[in-house]
Amino acid sequence: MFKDGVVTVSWPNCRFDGKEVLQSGQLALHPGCSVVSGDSGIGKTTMLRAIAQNNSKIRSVLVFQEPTLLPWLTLEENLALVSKEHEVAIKWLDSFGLYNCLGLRPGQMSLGMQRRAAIVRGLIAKPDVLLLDEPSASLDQLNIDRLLDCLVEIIHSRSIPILLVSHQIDHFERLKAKQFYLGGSPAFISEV
Amino acid sequence: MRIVEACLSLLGLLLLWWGVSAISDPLVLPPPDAVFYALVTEIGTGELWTHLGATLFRVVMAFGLAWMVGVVIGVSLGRIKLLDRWFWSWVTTFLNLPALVVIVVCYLALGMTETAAILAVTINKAPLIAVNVRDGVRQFDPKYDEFASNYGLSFSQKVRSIWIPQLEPFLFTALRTGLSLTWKVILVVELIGRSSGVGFQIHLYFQLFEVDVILAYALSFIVVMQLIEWLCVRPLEKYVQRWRSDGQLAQLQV
Repeated sequence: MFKDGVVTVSWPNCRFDGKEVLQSGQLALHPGCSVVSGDSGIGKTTMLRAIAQNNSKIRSVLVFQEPTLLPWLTLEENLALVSKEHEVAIKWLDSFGLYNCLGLRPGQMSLGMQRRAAIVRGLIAKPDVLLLDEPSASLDQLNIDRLLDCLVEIIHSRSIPILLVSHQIDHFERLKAKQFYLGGSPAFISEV
Repeated sequence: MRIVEACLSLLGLLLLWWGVSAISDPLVLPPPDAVFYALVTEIGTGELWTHLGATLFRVVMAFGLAWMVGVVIGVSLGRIKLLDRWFWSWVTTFLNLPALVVIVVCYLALGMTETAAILAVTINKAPLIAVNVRDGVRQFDPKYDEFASNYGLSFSQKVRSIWIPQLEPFLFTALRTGLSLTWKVILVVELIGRSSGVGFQIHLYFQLFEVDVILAYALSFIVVMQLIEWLCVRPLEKYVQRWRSDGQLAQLQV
């Protein structure tokens, strides 16, 4: 649901093996970054998946924790799969420092590069809201800094809400993001 | 180096053949030079090319059809659980149906025709391809399906960019095993009901008790199949699976 640039997303109760693990909820996301923190295994990824599946009127694009770039395609082919706007893709790749990787396959790139490339793929799919699942996981400080630079670039140039989940919230202090916490059993969302 | 080793190994097999033929009846197991002479004679008369071509045509037609039918069945059973529950037993039934039975039934139903010959091999080999493809489909990585669904990829994009690349190893296994088995079944088809092809020639020279010509035809077809493997299948496999060696470089940090 859209109102004054604010995108409201919701999700239903989620169960695994009959046990409720996540309570239903909704979030009003403003353009810019919102961060959901919580312990490992609490249901943050489940929440993102539920948002991606549950909001059919909103184009929400989920960038997975494990970059799901197709390993048999070059980066250029991976991007062409979700958008034919080559120029837009080139612009974002350039901003993210990946222009020279256009002809490389994911296996020829580092994890940090793959993460950034996956975000570019998410961006060029023209989402109303971008969902990032643990984007800093397994990255060293240098790559985390590069990732944050990229997120700042998105916030400045695209007026879309970004919802990211992470159990390492300190990584994202620089973004001055709105913060939420997911906790409890079954897990529920609350504003920090 | 691998080619040298393979050549030396084949040379060893040739020497073994020579040794065994030297101590056995040359009418039953002729030496390699006699088989080579028979081969040159058949090439000289043009008979070899005619019959080799006929068999190769049948192999290509029958295997091509079996391949298409097998892939469609395998993908359907692998992706749709309801179809798998209902029709998997059909596939295993046909998989275990003796080739000879299928050949005889097809010849009885359609007459001693080319269509019957090709259909019999197709029916016999399609289940083998289907089993391989179904196994491959069941091992698809769900994360790519989730990506395709989340990013709204079309059906053709999914097939071309996600399904086929994941199926490649299984398709190549099916190609190798299927081709090697197809040409052997084709020989039986030709032996029973065709008037051309390597199988027909083997049957003819069996009645004349000329084992050297029989072995010449068998060897010539083995050479053709090896050429297909080394000149077509392997280079194609190497090309489409070149991304698999990327993993070694992925350890590099930027």
